[in-house]
Parts: sequence; C-alpha cells; structure tokens
Amino acid sequence: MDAERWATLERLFNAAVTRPPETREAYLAEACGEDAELLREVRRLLAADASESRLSRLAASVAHDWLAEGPADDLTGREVGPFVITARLAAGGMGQVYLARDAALERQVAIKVLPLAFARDADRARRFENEARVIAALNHPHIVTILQIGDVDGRRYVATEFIEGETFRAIIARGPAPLPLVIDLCLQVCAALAAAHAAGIVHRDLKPENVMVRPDGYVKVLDFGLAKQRRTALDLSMATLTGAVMGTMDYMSPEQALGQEVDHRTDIFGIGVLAFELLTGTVPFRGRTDADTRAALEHACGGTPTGRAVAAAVNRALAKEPDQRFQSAAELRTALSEAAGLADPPASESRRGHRRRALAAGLAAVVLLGAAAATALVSNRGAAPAVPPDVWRGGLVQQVTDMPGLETTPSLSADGRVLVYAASGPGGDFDIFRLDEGSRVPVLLTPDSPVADLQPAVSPDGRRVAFRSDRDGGGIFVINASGGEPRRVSEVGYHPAWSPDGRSLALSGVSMERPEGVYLLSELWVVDVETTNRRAIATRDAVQPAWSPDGRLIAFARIPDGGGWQRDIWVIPVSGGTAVRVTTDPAADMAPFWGPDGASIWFCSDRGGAMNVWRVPVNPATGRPTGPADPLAVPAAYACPAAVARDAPAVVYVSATARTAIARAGFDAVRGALVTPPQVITPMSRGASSPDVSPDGTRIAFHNEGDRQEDIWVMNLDGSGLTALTRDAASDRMPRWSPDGTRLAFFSNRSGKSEIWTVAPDGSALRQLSTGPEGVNVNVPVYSRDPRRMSVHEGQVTHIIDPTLPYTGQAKDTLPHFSYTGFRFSADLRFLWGWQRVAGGPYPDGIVRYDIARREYVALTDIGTGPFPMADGRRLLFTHIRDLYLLDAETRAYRRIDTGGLSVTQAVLTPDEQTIVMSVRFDESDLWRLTPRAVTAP
Amino acid sequence: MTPGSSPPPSVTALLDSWQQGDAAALDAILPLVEQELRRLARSFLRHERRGHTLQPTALVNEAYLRLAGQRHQWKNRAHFLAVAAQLMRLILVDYARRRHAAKRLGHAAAAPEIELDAIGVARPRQLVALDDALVDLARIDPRKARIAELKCFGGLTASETAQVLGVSESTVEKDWRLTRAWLHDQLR
Repeated sequence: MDAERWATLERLFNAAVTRPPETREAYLAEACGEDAELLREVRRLLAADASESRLSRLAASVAHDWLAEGPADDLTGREVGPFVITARLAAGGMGQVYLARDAALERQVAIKVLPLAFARDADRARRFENEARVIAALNHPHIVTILQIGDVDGRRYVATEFIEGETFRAIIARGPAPLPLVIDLCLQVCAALAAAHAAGIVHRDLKPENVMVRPDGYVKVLDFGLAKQRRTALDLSMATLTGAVMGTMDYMSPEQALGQEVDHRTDIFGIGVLAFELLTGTVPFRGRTDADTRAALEHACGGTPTGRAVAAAVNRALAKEPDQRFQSAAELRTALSEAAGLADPPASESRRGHRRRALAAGLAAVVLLGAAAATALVSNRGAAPAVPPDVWRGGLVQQVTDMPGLETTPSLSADGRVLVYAASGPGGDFDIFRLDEGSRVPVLLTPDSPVADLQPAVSPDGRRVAFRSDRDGGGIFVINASGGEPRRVSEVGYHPAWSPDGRSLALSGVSMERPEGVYLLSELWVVDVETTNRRAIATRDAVQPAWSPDGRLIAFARIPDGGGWQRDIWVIPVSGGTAVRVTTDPAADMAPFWGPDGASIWFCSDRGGAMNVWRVPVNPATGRPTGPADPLAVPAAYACPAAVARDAPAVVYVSATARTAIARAGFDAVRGALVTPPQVITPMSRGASSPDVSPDGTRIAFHNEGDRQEDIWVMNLDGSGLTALTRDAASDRMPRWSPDGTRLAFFSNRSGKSEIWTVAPDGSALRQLSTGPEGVNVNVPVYSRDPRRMSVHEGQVTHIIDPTLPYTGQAKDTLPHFSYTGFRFSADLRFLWGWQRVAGGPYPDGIVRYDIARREYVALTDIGTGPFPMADGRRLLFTHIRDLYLLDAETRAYRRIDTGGLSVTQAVLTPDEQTIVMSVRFDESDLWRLTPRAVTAP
Repeated sequence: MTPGSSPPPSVTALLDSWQQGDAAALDAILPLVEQELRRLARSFLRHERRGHTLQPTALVNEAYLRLAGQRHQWKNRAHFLAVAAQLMRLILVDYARRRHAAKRLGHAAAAPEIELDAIGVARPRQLVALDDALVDLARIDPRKARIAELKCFGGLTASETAQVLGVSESTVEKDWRLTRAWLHDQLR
C-alpha cells in the first residue's frame, strides 16, 4: 500500500461512515467508479468497523500470558495421543484436567496435563513414571486406572479412566457426613492405600480433592505419584503462585509439614484427616489444641459404641508421631470395620440437626475469642484452672511474599496493618519494601539506592521506618513510611527496634542475621530519634534488640562466654541495671521479640533440630522466664527471624530454604559455553554437591548431605542408578575417582578425626588410606593421572604422596608453605591447580597454579575457587560466589559463563568435554504470615 | 551485595535519556522493567480471580513507580503512559515472537487458525501480526500508527492521546476509527 492509496481509502472511509448505512453503497459505487479493488477495500473496512473488535484486548491477553510465565494454553480441540480433547474440566496448581474422547474404544477419558515445573525436575518426573507403572500394574478397583502417559507441547500428561461422580470435597461441603457413610468411604480408601503401600507406593497427598465417589458409592483414589518426595516452603510458594488453595498444610502429616522424610504412615495420617473432615466438616488441629480436636471428633461421632470406636481409630490415625499411629492401612481398616460391626442404635436426625446449629453459634463467638485470647492469658494467669486454647499453634499460615530471591527481616506496625521488610532488589542489593494489609503490591521505600538497605523496623504507629543502610558512610536511617528522603539518626548500629512510644530506637553494634554470623563484641544503644542522642545500655555483647510492649525492658540475643554455636536470649531494663538470662540451652536462640501479651518472649531457635519459632513465658515486669519454652512449629525448613504485631493477632516469619543439587548441561568446549539448559539430576530433597566424573565418563560421584550424615554417592551420568557407597553417621566428603576408575578417595571423620579413605565404586572394600599425625586432620584427596601421585592436605600443609604406599613412613613431597588448597592436577602432571586462602577474609584470593618441578606458585586471578583444567592445557573452569567462569591461563583473562541464572558452586567436565556437571545451589526466603485460628468455645 | 559490582544506574536518569533520544538507554531500562513487571505480576496473579485479565498499563505504571520512585516529576500522566505503551509493545511483541517461533517449530500443521474475535487467551501470533501491520502503517501514516500503539498497548483515552500527540480529540477519534477498522481487516 502506498501513501496515495491510503489517503484515498481514508477519504472514502471517513465520508462513508458519516453517512447513514443505507446510503453508503450508492455513495461508494459512485466515488470508486471503475476501481473495483478500491470498492472492495473500503467495503472491507466498513465491515470491520461494524464488527466488534477486541483489538485493545489483544495486548492485554498476551501480557497476561507473558506475566504468568506462559501458562498452558487451553488444549480443547487438540489431539493428544490417541485422544481428542473435548473440554477443560479444571485448571490449578498441579496442572490442567481435560475431558477427552478415546475414538478407538468409544469411551471418555480424563487427561491431566502436568505443569512445566514437573518436567524440569527430572527425579520427580522419573519417580512419577515408575510409580504410575506400578499403579497401573496393580489394577486396583479403588485406584483410578492409568491408561497412558505422554507428552504434549513439552509437558507430561496422564490419561486415566474418566470417573463420573463427586470428590470428597463436595461431600464435605454439604456438612458433616453420617457415621456409617464415613466408615464405608474410609474403608474403601484404606483398601486402595493398603494395596499401594504393599507395592511400595506412598500417596503423600491425600486430600478431599483427590478422592472421588461414583454415584454407585464406589470410591476411587486419584493422583498417585504426583506429590513431591518432600515438601518445602518453596514448593508451597509454587503452589500458591499457581493458584492452588493455601489450605494444603491442613492435609500434611506433621513430619511432612516439617519437610522430613515420610513413609507410608504419612498416608495413615492423611486418611485420618479425611475421616475427621467428613465427620466434622472441618480439618483437625487447625487453631485448636489437641484436646479440643479430640473433643470435636468425639462429639461428631456420638456416644454410641461404634461412634466411640471410630473416634478412637481416627484419633490414633492422627497421632503426631508416626510410631503412635496405625502402622499400616490394613490395621486402620480392621479397626474401622470392627467399629462398624458393633451393636449400634440408628443415629437420630434431630440430634445431628441440633449439633449443627450449636456449631454455627459457637463459630460467631470464636472470632472475638481469637483476638481476646491473649488478654485472657494475662488476666487469667493463676486464677483460671483451665488452660486457655492456644490460638497460635497450628494457626493459619499464608505466604506473604513470593518474589525470587531473599525477603527477610519483617517488622509489623502495632495494628499489624503495615509490614516492612528487606528484599534483594533488581540490582542485587537489598532494599526496603512496605506492604500494607490488603494491598497486593509492595512499595519500594528505598529507590535508586545502590547500597544495601537492611533490617527495617516500622514504628508502632506505622508512619516511620528505621533501617540500617550502608549509604553515606552507613548507619541507622529513618524514613517516612510513605517514602521520601531518609534521615540519619545514628552513624553506627544495626537491627533498629522502636520503643512503644515511637520516640527512641534500640540498636545493636553489629549485625547477626543468621546464627553462623561471626561477630565481635556488640554494644546495645538507645538513640533518641528527635535529638539523635545515643546512650549505651549494655556494653557486653548484645544483638537484635526488641522492646517490650510496656517500654521498660529490652530483649536481645547474646553469645555466651566461650562462644561456639550457642546464642541465648537475655533481657535488660531500659533504665539500666542487670541483664537477666532467659534461655540457657546449647542451641542458637536468637532474634527475640515480645509476644503480643507482653508476658512471653518469642524467639528463633534450632533447639528442635531445624530453626523454628519458640515461645517462653516470662514475668512481664522482670523478663524472667516463668515456664519452659515451647515450639510454634510453623511449617518451614528454616524459620527465622519473625515479627509480631503488638495490638493485633498477626505474626510474620521468614521461611528460608537452601538446597544443593547436581545439574548437568551440554557444553561447547570450543566456545566455552553451555549449549543446553542445565538439568538437575539429583533428587532436590538431598544436599548433593562436590561432583567428580569417572575417568570413563559414565558415572558421577558426589557428596550427599542427609539429615544428620554426609555420605558418598554415585550415579550414572543421567542421574539414574543412584547408589550410596557410604551410609552411616560419619561425615564423608569430596569423592575423587582414581585414574583407573576402580577406587574412590574421600575424606571422613569415621576414625575420630579427618583422614583419607577409599572405597570401591560398588561400596565394597572401604579402607583407610592416610594416618596423619595425632590431632592433625588429613583431607582433600586429589588423584592425578599417575596412580602413584596424589595430593592431600595435612593440617596447614599440602603433600604430594604415593597412595599405593603406606602413608606413614613414605617420603612425601611437601609443598612450600603457603595458604593454598591444591584441587586438580593438570593432565601433563606439571601443575597442581588450586586457590589461595586469606585467613579471616570473606573471599578466597584467587586461582593459583603450583609448578611441581619449579616448586613455585603463580597467582592467576584475584577471584575464584575450585579450578577444573580443560584438556587443551590452557583453559580452566572455576567458580566465584555462585557464578561459573572460564579462565585462559595464558592471557589470564577470565569471563563469566551464562548458566541461565543457576547458582553454581563447582563445575567439572566429562572426559569428552561435551557435558558439564555442576553443583548448584538454590536459596530462597519468603515471608509467611501466621494468623491465630478461631477456636470453638469449650 | 556482591563486592565489585557497579551500582545500578538510576532508572529515572535512563528514562530521561531515552526521552531525549538516547536509544541505548532503552536497552538498559528494558531488563529492569521486565524484571520488575514479573515480580509485580506474581503478586498480582496470586490475588486475581481466574480469568481476570491484567491491564499491561497498570503494571507498567506500578513498575515505574517502584523503579523510579514517586519523586520524579513527569510532565503529565499521559506522557508517562505513552512511554509505558512503547515499552510494553517492545516487551510483548518480543515475547510473542519468541512464543510464536517456538510454536512453529513444534507443530506447524497442528496449530489451529485463530479468529480475532475469539481472543480470550493469549494469541501471540495475532500480536506479531499487529506489530507488523503497525510497522507498515508507520511508514505511510506515522500518526495513526502511534495512535494505535497508545491505544492497544497503553490503553490511553482519546483525550490523553490527543495531549501526547498535540492534536485535537476529534482528530484522534476519527483517525482511530479508520485505523482500528484497517487493523481489524489486516488481522482477519
């Protein structure tokens, strides 16, 4: 089209549209004359003008898709395998469910398309397929039949029989179900699970949505093998992100919620929850004490012999400790069927109706009770004989933030409406964000700040935010909660905490966000926000101050004399005086804050194994503990720190995860770049790191960190054939293949101190190789191509030894003393590559090459660890602060290799250099909100 | 927090340079805006009803406020929306092209033809076609192409569009009617 034609079109179109439609044809016929093409074009424009255009929604719909990171398109109408999809039935966090037709067999099938994330987790996908095969082979009447598994648009799908009927959810929605029906349904679920367990399959995700009842009363259990081996806070965040309901926690067994390994007894708990919810219409424990939960169950079951027996069975299924539950689904089934066989008068409908009304009335009273419970706790102390219901434990948890990266150090205003926190921003540095109650979008309070802004504290009235910033020489700054210019109130300090009147801030001299943070003596100060006058109130070590609600006491964390891992909570009067110790156990107790009642101090502690939130009752006047501490057991692998609102029932805590895994990717040795995206090949629930590829390039040995042990594992290059070579309480680290591939060397504390050990790749013939001097650790065994040369570390020095000779007595080549870690020999055995360490420094000081003949070190870079020399004898891979680099040893130039955003801690190549095997790390921390649950009045 | 990393450039400064004709500044802005949009989008999506369509302009606006802060004075809201619309077009068309290309490789024959009026979910191919048509149109009638851009990618009202382009509102309305019909015909 040219401009002239366009101008003509415009003139004719504009003239035509202003005329009444019935006169347009005549006008155009005359205006266009002989030009039939022009007439057609204008006609088309007029038709388009009349039609309803959705042009403006086009961008919006693509934007939606883009923002949602490409959710699956609706597949309706598509052919998928032998099926034609006819309708979409549901879409949710675990994918989309379609109704499809199997043309050949003239039947309807259900097709579940799994989310992309599922395919990305190789282990999960593989396990799912294994389990699906087993389930299909079982062909159990109460387990949905799997027809086919395949791929569509790069996503996995599962085709199953289509079940007409309703889910348990639909039954529950109608209110408490009659006892006989519940027994019948649960017996069928037990039968399905008993069969699956016998075949070694654990469901892990039993919930009302996953169990269906056909109109003829037949029960079918769905979705085997889809749950993750272990749930993490991260998984839950994904579930939330993709729209899954946030009630998932309710259906998890305690061990599952804590992210521990689960077995078939997690399903016993799951059946218990199903039964409980069918009977009572609500999930157990949520916001209730165990006693209340039991009472609700007994009430729902009624006082008949059958009712009592069922209540007892469900109670036992719901035991917190797996050992206390039924040990098999068959056992539970027996208990239920025995209960059903007991003589029992028919249930009276009028009783049921009455009970339901009573529950509704109770519920209205509950909301008030939740808010007032804290007050009751104080005023009733000592007077009331009954323990008030604990509204916090088992309260509702909801995810507050889910941005990638780290969100931490939450702080709430007194009314709980304003939340501030620090988050790693787009530039990689930390910034302060504000998130108001009911708002969806966090507000960045520290824009355009290239330095770290940390540890925000919002004033009790929610109007101002104090924070630590490295800007302008560093210090504590105060900014309006609506934004603006920050004002410095102190040149020193960390962890600001507001006084209840909002006039002063308590500060600590140094920062401690995680217990492993090493710090020097830290003073505690109080600074007047108006005048910026500062006075010290504790001169010994004190961090993370928290002001009591009455303003008279400050709680803080302190390292006891002697240091080590232990941190304790202390309290000191603001007016000065003697500090009182609140906790004394050897765990790391830190990040204290005052409970909303002022009569308890809440803190984070790893005394229970994992870092979680604990409470200890204290005398509000002195801060002295008045009872033992108890855990809140919020669902998180690592929960710390936390914040509470003074006048409202709200707690926000940080849930952090850090996992390591082995990933592999295609590698182009010529370009020095990844050619396929990295794929994680180890189970994500394991802490896998330190990979080493066998000389024939077929297997990977790695270090695996379990719950309380560290072992050496091997697997095939694709992640299959996982085998543990060591599996005991000893810590075994850094496996290295011998040049002939027949042994693996590693270092271990199994003899009481660190020594080098070797083992055959099938786990046999475990032998101690080194015998270092008394009290000196030997570690980092590095094989070379020469079977008679290995480098090891002995205390502060590096030796080159002959691993075939006895360690003691042989002539060792001891390297000139240097703060150096030898890590890989060059192929020609001229060099030993490693890195130098700087004592006390935060980072290693760069890659160093040791010339074995000349006995001299050459420093090649100023960053990096873990060098891996390439076959060309010139280039090396190394890592630096979770990035992968390629170094040219001749020019000493290095550049970063794009790993698609993965944090890489170590990298090695297969002998053909076509595959790179990496140890990768996933760090994530998000904020979660804990809301006390309504409790039924006693 | 990484030692040695240079401080990120000020978004405000970059937006200013871009407005003043520094094309390179845009390259620096886009990844920042895109990253910010994704973060915002997640918190939006978490709370939106299923099937609710996000307004790109609302997101860009939020992203801008967060990236540049509220201290920066724009001449007026319409001018900022015009910038936002242009950014959004670049981002979305780039995304749509990638999506479209990926799909073509995957199953060319299976991809069903899509009616414009049936837009309910994302239609990357249509968006690419829209962008192509606008490029064509801009060569012979830049003002109408710009109006379409502001309309389709920024959701500007006729009055805001008139303000940005310095023409009367009735001109905008007249131009948009033709452009809309023409685009609709092109994408048919």
